[in-house]
Amino acid sequence: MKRRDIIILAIVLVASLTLYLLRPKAIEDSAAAVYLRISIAGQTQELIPLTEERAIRIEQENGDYNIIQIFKGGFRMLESNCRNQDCIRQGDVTADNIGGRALANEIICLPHQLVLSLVTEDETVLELDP
Amino acid sequence: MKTRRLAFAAVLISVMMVLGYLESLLPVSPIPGIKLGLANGILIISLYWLGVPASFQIMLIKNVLLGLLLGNPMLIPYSVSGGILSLALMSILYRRQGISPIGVGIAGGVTHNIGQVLLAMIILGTPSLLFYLAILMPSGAVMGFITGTIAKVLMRHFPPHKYLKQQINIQTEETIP
Repeated sequence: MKRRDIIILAIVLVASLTLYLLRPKAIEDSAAAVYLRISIAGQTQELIPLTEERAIRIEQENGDYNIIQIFKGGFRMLESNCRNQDCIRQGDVTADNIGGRALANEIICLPHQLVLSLVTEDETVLELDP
Repeated sequence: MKTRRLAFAAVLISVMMVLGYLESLLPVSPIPGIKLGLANGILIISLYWLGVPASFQIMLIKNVLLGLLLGNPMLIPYSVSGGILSLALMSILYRRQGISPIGVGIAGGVTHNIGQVLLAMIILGTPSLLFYLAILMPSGAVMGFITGTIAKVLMRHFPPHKYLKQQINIQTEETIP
């Protein structure tokens, strides 16, 4: 490795560390009611309170579908007819595990442009300021 | 001369496709977006040997073909946006003093992830994805270090003049009767 290779590496590490330290860690008010926000291609479709256990099927016009399992305080992706199945592997989202998840409060199904987010009622779980 | 270059570019694309296929056989990482990206090592070689415009063509062809054959066609825009941003930065860096193919690989690996995440932020409307880069950038740097090292070793042991320049010279001599 040459001198400027190491400078490049240092820039990357500093930028990563900065983002890591600024990342959203948890819901501030632990007693706040949590909701599941479903959005497709950036448009919010529904806001569902996470109070009882049930499954929701989301079907899009082109035949894409996802099934979400909702439980008290959280949700997970149960089924998807996308090819890569990344969304299933993203596991559970609950108010407590946001800080430890790579995608924080979200489950993303990229091929279906579907984003599931855990939010509080005013949708301010995630703010860009720490 | 053009035929040699074209044939060599085609060989590089085939190698990248095979590497892409082999990677698709590996177990999927639990964190979406983390990939080895071995094909990027070949793209680095293409940059040094065939130059910037040819490398952009190779990158576009490889991403579209691989997306259609093995991946999800819906995800082609993501690999192309990552590819364009990453190759743009690598093109700026590769001829500079004090930068080896390893540094080029690191910069390319990291910007590939940045390009993908930026497009996802725009399409999905999720600015919070920015923080995901805290995980993806170090992983891109590690993968870029590996692919850059592979490119460096390959280029040292298979110098381009053996395969390109010399043959180009022979070719040009032949065309002068």
